[in-house]
Amino acid sequence: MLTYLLANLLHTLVVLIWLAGLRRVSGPIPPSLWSGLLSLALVAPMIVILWRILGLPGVPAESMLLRVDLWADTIRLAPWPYQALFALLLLGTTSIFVVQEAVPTWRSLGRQRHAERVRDERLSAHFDKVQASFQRIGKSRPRGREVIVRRLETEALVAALVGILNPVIVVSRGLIDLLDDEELEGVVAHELAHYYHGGNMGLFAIWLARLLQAPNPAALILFRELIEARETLCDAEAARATKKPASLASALLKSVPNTAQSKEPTAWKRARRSVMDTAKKEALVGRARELIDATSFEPPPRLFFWAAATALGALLWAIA
Amino acid sequence: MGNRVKRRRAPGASSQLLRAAIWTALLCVGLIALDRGLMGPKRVQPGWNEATSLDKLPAKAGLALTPTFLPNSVQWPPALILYRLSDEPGWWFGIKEADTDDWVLWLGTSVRFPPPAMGPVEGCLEDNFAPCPPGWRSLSGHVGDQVVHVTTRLPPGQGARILKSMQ
Repeated sequence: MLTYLLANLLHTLVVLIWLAGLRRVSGPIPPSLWSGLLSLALVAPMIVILWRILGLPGVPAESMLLRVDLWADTIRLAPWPYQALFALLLLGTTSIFVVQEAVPTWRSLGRQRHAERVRDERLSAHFDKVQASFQRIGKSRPRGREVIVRRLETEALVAALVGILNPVIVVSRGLIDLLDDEELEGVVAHELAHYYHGGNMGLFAIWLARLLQAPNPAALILFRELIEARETLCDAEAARATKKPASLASALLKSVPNTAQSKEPTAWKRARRSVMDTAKKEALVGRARELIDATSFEPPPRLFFWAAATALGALLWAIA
Repeated sequence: MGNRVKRRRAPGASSQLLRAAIWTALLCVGLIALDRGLMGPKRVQPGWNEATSLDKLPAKAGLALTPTFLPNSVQWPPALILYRLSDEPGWWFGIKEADTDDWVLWLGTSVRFPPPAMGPVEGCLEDNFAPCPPGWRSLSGHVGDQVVHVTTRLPPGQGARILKSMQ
């Protein structure tokens, strides 16, 4: 068990370092390639562990990059305070996963279930237009249920693709009232891009890989990076389909939370809300900036992804 | 006259690929250096480690038992001391003949994962029911809470005597 845990930790850590270095040395990586590599970085270590469990051929011992057995033995032979520190790292990361990812996801699902969803003519008109734009750029509809669009009866600024088997794009009344037509089109295009890129079903599959790696701190970083990367990817796809990146950027900037209007009852909760809002604001401004600065939204040739995926697979295979 | 802004040109695809390949190669070299630097150069086979002497055998591998009887024709201490800590912890001692420097005796405790260093006698442990190579025999017995295995091509009776001397 320890050997598999450590193998997973070393795999994801090496992939994280490799990806970070790749972005630094080879310049900007297109969003579709970056998002694809991050997804692979979360799933591939699980496949390599399975490969190992099944006893399939591996790299000869003398050619291995990292000899996980020896690292595991070092931990087994270490004095107990070191073993306790290692256990604390894994337990701490699992707690972060439960408190910061699993519980909030469950709560947000509950909130979305309770708000009423109604048909909105303005929203539906933009939805039809955007769907036609996606078909024009050659996006084929994923298999499964067709996506629909609904207005969410709340003043909060919300736009999301919800549902795993029955995907629904929801945009809140507060956000619809705030945005002009082109901005709304951009927002709908962004959510539709999520649907075309696997939707919540695809994200759920990756989340399962994340769940299985809950004690792994490197998997935690990879998953958070992936969530951001998917947003950037869907921004780029929306801009490519609508050809109006500035409108989407403007919509993002309009949805920046206003911390001054916080109605939290206690100072601690207000401070916490302020920190969360500031982080959200920085993320939204960063995405808007990428939309405005980008010179092209065309995805790179598929060959780039397969070349990088092969390198990543070989790297993991050589750590056993 | 306005300020002239010098835009940095984005690297071309071939340059990006070359840089990515160099970075990947450097990372591999770095990982090998880290691993060999921290863990040492030795690697006997997956799951098994080599101890340089009997007193370096970790207690977690099980109590190292040494025979009080050994014929004069064999070398002591063992030429190869192996141990494993994962799955089924255990140890194996590889002992050579004094004259020929060939393997003549294997003493150990791990049956499920015998070390590949045992070569042709790896499969012929008593519990594995595989035939031993000509001239080799395998026997085992309880010593404390451990089951010790003796695989040898010493004359008949000497294997049993070695095993008894460990009890």
